[in-house]
Amino acid sequence: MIHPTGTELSKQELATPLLRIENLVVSFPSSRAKGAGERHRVRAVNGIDLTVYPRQTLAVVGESGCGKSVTSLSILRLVPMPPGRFDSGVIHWRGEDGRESNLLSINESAMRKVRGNQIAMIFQEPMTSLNPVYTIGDQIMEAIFLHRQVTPRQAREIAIESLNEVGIAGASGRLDEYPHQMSGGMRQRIMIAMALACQPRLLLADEPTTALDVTIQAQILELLRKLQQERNMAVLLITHDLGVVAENADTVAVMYAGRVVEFGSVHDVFNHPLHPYTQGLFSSMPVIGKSQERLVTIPGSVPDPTRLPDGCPFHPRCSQVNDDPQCTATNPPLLEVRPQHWAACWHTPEYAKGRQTKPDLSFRRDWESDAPPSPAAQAATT
Amino acid sequence: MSNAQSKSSPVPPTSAPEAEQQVERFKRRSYLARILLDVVGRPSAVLGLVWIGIMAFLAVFGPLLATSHALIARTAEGRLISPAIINLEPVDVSLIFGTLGTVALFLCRYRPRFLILTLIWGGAVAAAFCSANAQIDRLFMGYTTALIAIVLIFGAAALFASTARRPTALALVLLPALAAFFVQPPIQSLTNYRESRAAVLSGDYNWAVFAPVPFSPQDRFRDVAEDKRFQAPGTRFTLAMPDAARADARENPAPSRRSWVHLMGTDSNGQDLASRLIHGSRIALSIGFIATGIAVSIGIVIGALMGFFSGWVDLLGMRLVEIFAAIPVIFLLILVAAVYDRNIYLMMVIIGLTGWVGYAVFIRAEFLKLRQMDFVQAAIACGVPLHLVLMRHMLPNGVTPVLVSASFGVAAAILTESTLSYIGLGLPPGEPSWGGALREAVTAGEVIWWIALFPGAMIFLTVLGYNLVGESLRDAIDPRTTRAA
Amino acid sequence: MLPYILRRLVLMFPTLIGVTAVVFFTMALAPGGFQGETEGEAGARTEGTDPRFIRNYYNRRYGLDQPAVVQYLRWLNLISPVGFATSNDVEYTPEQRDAAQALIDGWEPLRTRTNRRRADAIFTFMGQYLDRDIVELTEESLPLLTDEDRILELFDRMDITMHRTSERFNERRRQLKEAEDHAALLSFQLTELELEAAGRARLLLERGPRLKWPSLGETLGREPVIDRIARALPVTLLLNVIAVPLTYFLASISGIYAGRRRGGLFDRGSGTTFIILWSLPTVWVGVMMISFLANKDYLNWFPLAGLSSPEAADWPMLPRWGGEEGFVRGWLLDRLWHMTLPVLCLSYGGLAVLSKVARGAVLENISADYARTARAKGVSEHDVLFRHVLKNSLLPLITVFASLLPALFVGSVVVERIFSIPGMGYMGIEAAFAKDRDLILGTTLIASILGLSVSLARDILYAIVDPRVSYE
Repeated sequence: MIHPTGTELSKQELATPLLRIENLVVSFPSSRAKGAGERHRVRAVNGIDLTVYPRQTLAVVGESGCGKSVTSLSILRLVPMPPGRFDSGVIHWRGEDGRESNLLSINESAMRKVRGNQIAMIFQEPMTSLNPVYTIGDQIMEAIFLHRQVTPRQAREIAIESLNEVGIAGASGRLDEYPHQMSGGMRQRIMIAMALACQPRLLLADEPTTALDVTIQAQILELLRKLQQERNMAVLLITHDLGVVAENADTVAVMYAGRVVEFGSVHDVFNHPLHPYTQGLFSSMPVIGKSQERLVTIPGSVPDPTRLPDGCPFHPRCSQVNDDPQCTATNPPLLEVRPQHWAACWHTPEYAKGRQTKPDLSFRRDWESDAPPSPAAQAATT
Repeated sequence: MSNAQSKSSPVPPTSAPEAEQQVERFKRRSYLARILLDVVGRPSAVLGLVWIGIMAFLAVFGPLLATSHALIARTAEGRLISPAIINLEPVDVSLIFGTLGTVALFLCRYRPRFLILTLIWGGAVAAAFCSANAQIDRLFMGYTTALIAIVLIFGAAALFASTARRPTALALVLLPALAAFFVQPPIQSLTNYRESRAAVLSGDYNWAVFAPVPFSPQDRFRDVAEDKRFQAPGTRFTLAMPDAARADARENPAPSRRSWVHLMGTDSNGQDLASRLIHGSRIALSIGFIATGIAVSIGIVIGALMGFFSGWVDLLGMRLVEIFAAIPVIFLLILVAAVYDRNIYLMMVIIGLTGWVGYAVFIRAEFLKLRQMDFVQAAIACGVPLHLVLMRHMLPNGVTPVLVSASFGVAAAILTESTLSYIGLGLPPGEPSWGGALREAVTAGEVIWWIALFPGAMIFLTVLGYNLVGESLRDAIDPRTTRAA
Repeated sequence: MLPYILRRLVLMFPTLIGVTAVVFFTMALAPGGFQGETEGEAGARTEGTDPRFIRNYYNRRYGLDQPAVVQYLRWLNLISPVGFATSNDVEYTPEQRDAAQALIDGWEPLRTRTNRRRADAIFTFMGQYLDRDIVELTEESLPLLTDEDRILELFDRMDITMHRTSERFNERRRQLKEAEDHAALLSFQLTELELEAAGRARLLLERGPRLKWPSLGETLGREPVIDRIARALPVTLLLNVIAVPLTYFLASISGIYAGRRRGGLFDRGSGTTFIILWSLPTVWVGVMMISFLANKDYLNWFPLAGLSSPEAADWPMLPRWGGEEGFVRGWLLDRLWHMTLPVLCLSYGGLAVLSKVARGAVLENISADYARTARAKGVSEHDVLFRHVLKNSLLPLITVFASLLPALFVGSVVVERIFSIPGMGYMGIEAAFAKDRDLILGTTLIASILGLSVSLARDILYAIVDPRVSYE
């Protein structure tokens, strides 16, 4: 064994956050805003707070364009920087020595030691995310050489082992193949193997299964969950597929127009969705056994980020507004409306009594003795 | 097209709804119109277009801007005449009045009452021509052609203004213009370029207004100027007074000796360089346009057939393409120019015939892609006839990128023409070609700096103009490089 | 891979035939064809000869009186390694030439027995020519020697380049005309027609196809075309071998720097510079260089023409200091000095095109998904650029290579013309001016073979660099 699988973590370690994002704002220049005489920059991420604990899966859900991917890219500082900019915010990362550092302020070489080594990322498009002119062995071993002091022979062994772990048969032969010789599912496994080769403590999975067909999706997610349990790895799972969330997530953050609008454990969010947008998402999902004439849709479309409406950005589409001046005038902050369940909507029951706390939840599902999934989750997975 | 081009609109918007309206209006325009608008919004493209515009102006009005004949003169008998206009070639007439007519047409589109004015004006001009030239037999044939062209052009103007069928009207404007261009009278006019100057000196004209460049391109001074072949820019050329005129001048209070300045010097024949360059612009532009037009047409037809039918048509076409790609085109051009009689039309045709390969390959690839597209399959499934599928559904979608290549193609054709002319295989020696002018830059080991500098600069700037436009077109079409901020 | 290369090589042949056919028929179908100006040209070369005779000469040499297709087939036969021999193939020794000439000159005396020895020499020579046994031929031919027409035919077959044959014809015709012997005149004219047909450098079809040395024919000046090309080709190749790598090297560097900082100062600056360079007509640049950098009236920094100084042949290879004559430039340095302007002139246009392509490729790849993956692995930006992006960006550069080559050929034509460098382009123009058929076709053939080989090389290179491409 060249690298040990995760040892048992102490209770205290499990209760200490691995990653804390506070008030992150990322903006990009916009040409259209200029012509319309508005501000020149568009905020793709507009002040979000998130927390991830070890061995936890945080699912970030939302429509395309709501800032999910930018959030994950920001954690690794991979947002293309000349156009993009961090306007404010802190990303606290607890290093292996237990000390926290701000990923947005450490220098580039320290950041490179974090990338791939402590935080790894897998991307949505397995077809294009591998370099076509190098063998997959070259690409996996490149990551190993960067972060481990190993001989080429050892690097090769680690690579073979990680390929075995992601369930690729005949791994040693596969190392010398090129990406184009493999199917999409295989490539995504290789991406995962590459990401996991250096034993990261946090895996950012940006829609890892979107480009794959359904049977492969299930395999990949199953694989991720298994590896996560073995290694105590935290996963930030970005997706728009509620079924995937119900299957895999421990905690869920729902994003809309660059903000988190609801946050809670998977059970809370699925059983008692508080925000009208979340409710809308669930009601637009087909439910097995219930025949409906037509699926409920959320009216309207995602607002143009260059021209967000005043007040709550969801109000033009919201079913509960009824010309509430509060909704059209002020953007509601994210409040802990019920214990351990955060939401940002003026119309949430007891919103007025909500406490202003950072969304922070160390909840984990106990996968060994899994309680029967919640009804909504059950419905969603099928 | 995520960033709508509100910037490129002429009036900057003041409020958000107005901007929105503009964005909407922009989105509603056709793809081509949007691209052209985008191009016009780029400063480099504007620069290029301005230069090409100047060249086009020179090409059309060159015969009135650089001519040895007086533009307007008053004869001793008190008659007003215009030797410059009388000595116009039929091609010049149809170009000048075709252009003016087209401008009038566009005015008519917006102000219908201009039409009447235009027609009156056109008729007056035509009548003036008839009366002015009735006495000059040798030009009569030529002007008949030109007159037919003018009448047809203004006829088309009426049609154009009354109906909105733009393509038809444009065709009606262009066809007679082209016809007049090609149907030349079989008369070689032997022009006496010194006529006007002599008349001024001898007092036959009371006064005369000369063109900004008062020399025709083929007005040779070798026999009268000092015994020096090349005259440097700024050299004053003074016409010696003929003896008879001198005697005349003694009796009458004659005008003093007139002198004219060679702006850019002369070539070895004593022909004014500035005049030759101005007249050369017509040759360069027309060769560029027509050669590229021929190449694009052949390329589109062959490429479309190859791409749509694939199979053996494609195989055969690809061999043809391969053959033409393997021939060093310049060599073929040199050969043709060496073997056949040289003239401007042949140059256009051979540059066009050898240049179609790139377009064909391009269109073929585009059509291979398009053929698989659902909308084409749908059109075929709906029973749309083949030619309509090709012409209406596929061509408009595949042809836009060809615009880019065509714009570069015009530049390349101009380069080719100048190269051939430089080698000595271009136009016949008398024709004022830019490349041909460059040939005399180093004569017998001596550098004539103005001949090295000016003609090359003209070629360079024109090619640069087309390349700038092409570059902007490409950027406008490529979604990745669409103008940001 | 090997089968693919072989298939490509085989496919080259139809293409080459097509290329030469296009060039051939372009010329052959022109009014005047190859003959257009040859009369004057050749007339100047062989003084005082009858134009009709010269026309005959070219007709016979190239078979110009035959249909164009046949002419082209004859040329194909010439360059093919398997084909029919022609009556031109027979090599004559100077003695044989003299003998034949003497035979023709001494036509009348031959009827007597006094010149038998001379006749023996002729028969030896004809035997060689007709590939027949001499004794047999002599026996067969003896009776013919009294037949005037037959012997004329034999003479004619022997050597079509022996112009005097025709002179004898003319003389004979004049005699007959003066004698007003109409029957004889008619018979003579018929014979003449027959001889015209037979006297052409005729394909010896009856001997059947056989292996032979392929030949590119001879120039108008009767120099083997292959020798001319062998002299010109290395010069052009030398220019391009220096220009192409230089172009590629500079273009990749500037492309990478421009692509890395998109919209930056270098990107904009190089973009502007390159579009200007791209638009500069080679003709003008060459003329300006020669006018202002290489002229005694202005900056006399570079030589005016040629590839070497006349005295360079005596110089040592490398520059040397000291000695009695002080500094000696040396052959190598002299050559480089001569080549500076032509190579500059040849490469700036390609540089502009290539660096534009390189910039586009780098731009595309630097924001590609796999580059993001590499960054997410912790690869430094420098390594992302030079390890991941660069190799992928090379692909379009390789593609451009094949389309760059014709451009370089055009450049060579112009540059060689301006700088008076005796390369392929210079020769091509000369050949076109002179309408030297074999030289034109030979140049076309060699240039096309080069072009096709380069495009094959490009495809092979592409397969090596890009593992996705395979020609199995």
